[in-house]
Order: sequence, then C-alpha cells, then structure tokens
Amino acid sequence: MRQLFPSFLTAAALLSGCATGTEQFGRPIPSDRITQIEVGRSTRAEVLTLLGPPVRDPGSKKGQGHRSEVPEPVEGALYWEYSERHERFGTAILFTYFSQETLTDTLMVVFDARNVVEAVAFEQETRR
Amino acid sequence: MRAVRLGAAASLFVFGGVLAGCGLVTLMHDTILGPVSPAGRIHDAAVGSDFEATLEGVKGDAEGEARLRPFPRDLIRTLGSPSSFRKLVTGLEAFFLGASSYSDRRTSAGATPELGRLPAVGASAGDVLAALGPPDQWVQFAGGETMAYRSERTRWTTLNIGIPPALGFLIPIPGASSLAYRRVTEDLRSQGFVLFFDEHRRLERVAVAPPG
Repeated sequence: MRQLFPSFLTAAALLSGCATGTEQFGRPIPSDRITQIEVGRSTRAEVLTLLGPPVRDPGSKKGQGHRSEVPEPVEGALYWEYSERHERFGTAILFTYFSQETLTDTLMVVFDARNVVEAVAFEQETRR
Repeated sequence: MRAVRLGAAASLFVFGGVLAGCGLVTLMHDTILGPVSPAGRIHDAAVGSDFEATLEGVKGDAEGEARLRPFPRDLIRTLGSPSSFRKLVTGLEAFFLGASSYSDRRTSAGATPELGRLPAVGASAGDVLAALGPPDQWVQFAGGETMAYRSERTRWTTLNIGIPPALGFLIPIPGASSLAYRRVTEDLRSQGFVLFFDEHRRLERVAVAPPG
C-alpha cells in the first residue's frame, strides 16, 4: 500500500493541468478618435481617414470568422470590431473544466443618403 | 505464463485492428456497408488527412474517403506538426474534454447593455444607439423599425461511464466508443430586449425577455 501511494500521486500529477489564454482578433478600436466623429457633419471619407478600413460592411463577410453570432448588418452602416476570447482550462484526472468568454468592441457608424454621419454607436465590452 | 498470454493477446488485438484498416477489408466495408458498422459508428475521427481538432471533437470532410481505418491518414504527421500553437492547444483541450468522465464546458458571448442606460420613450434612434451601442439585430420596415440586444451563455456538462469518445478513438475496434453510457446536458441561457421604433424613428416601447 505504501508503494502504491507515491505512484498514485505521480499519476495524478501527470494527469492534471491547467491553462489560461487570450486570443485577440483585429485591432483595438481607438476610442479617443470616436469623439472626433460629428453627427450631421463628418463625411464617410473623413470617418474612413480617421479610423481606417472597416472590418465589415453590409456587402462584405470579412471579419466574421471568429464569431458564431454577428450583428445583422445595416444598410448604409460601417462596422469596426475588436474581439478578445478568454479561455480557462483545467483538468484533474477524470474531471475537466473549460470556460470561454468572448468580448467584442463594436463601433457602428450609420450614414445617410448624402454619406454624412447619421448616428454613431460604440459598445466596449473588453474593458468592463 | 499468464503475462505471456496477455502480451500475445494484446499484440493480436493491435495487429488485427491495424489490419482492419487496410486494403481489401476497408474497400469491402466501405463499398458494401458504408461508414457505419453494425457494431456502431466506426470512428468519428477516421476522416482522412483533412481533419481538424475542435472543442466538439475531431472534425473533417469524410466525403469520398475510405473510413474503416483505425486512424485517420497522416495522423502522426498532422498531430506532430500542428499548423499553429493554437491548434495544438485546441487539440489537447478537446482530447481532455472527451477523455474525462465528467467535463464542464461554459461559453459566453457578448453582454447586454444595462437597461438603466436606455433613454426615455420618445428618444430618437440616434440617441438610443449612442446610449446602448450597436444592436445585435436591426430590422427596418415600412412604418417602423426594431433593434434587438441580446447575449448568450451556454453550459455543457458531460458524464461518461465506460470508454470516453476520445479514448475510443484510440482503440482500433469498430464501435469501441459506443460501449459507454453518456449523458450530455446543454443549458443555453440568453437575455436581452427588443426596442420598437415608430415611423418617425422615435422609441415607442421596450420588450424585455424574462431571465432564461
């Protein structure tokens, strides 16, 4: 029995482990630049100059690969997205725990028919 | 003597399993019986060279592949040289999740904005967007529009008594992974609310989903 106990402990140690990690998708949205967008004044070209190319527009499926559920695109709106996926994993012999949390920052800028900003919507989940 | 007999039986066991995946037997099985053996599904992971480890297990396109093989093609090469560290970790996590007698997997995506940030009834769509952020769904129609905000949390718990799927995959006996009692519980909870706007794009009413 005394010989079995160290073996059991060794086996338990070998069959146990844990891991944590964070995956990042895209570039963080510069929130300080969002305040420079003026509703009713800024144009589409000015917004693109300010924020760079969007990850998604209604005519494109680019940037949707990492999310199973993506917001329904709105006609005339451009989207900028940045996501973080936090994972925790732990296993102890025959028990395994895994958790995954996906947080997404989304900026949506809606333009009117004249390509002038009509509305700005920004949701930051990563710094909650 | 007993040890020798056990050793010989183990060798036959492995040798027979490897043989079962080769040549005529494979062709006959795949032609006549298809991918599913009378003893159960052969191997979920025997899907040829284009397979991928995901948290739901090994997945791949099995179309046109002979499937009565103990292991997928190029298994050692593929597992030995994963395309990224991320793939390697996912493979290990999937293996432990599948091999455990009890596993608990939780995922969450998104967060619903606090209702306290919602402007009063009569606010414009622009004010609502500025206060709550982009909706998950925005439907515009004649006479009004709706915006939906929601988040989801899912929890899977799996109890395996017998041969867990990830270990059954390593045992070269057709249907080995079926020799188990398996109970999978999936609990999906979502929360959120829907905003209704009138034809002038003014907030008309709010519908809040009861906690799921």
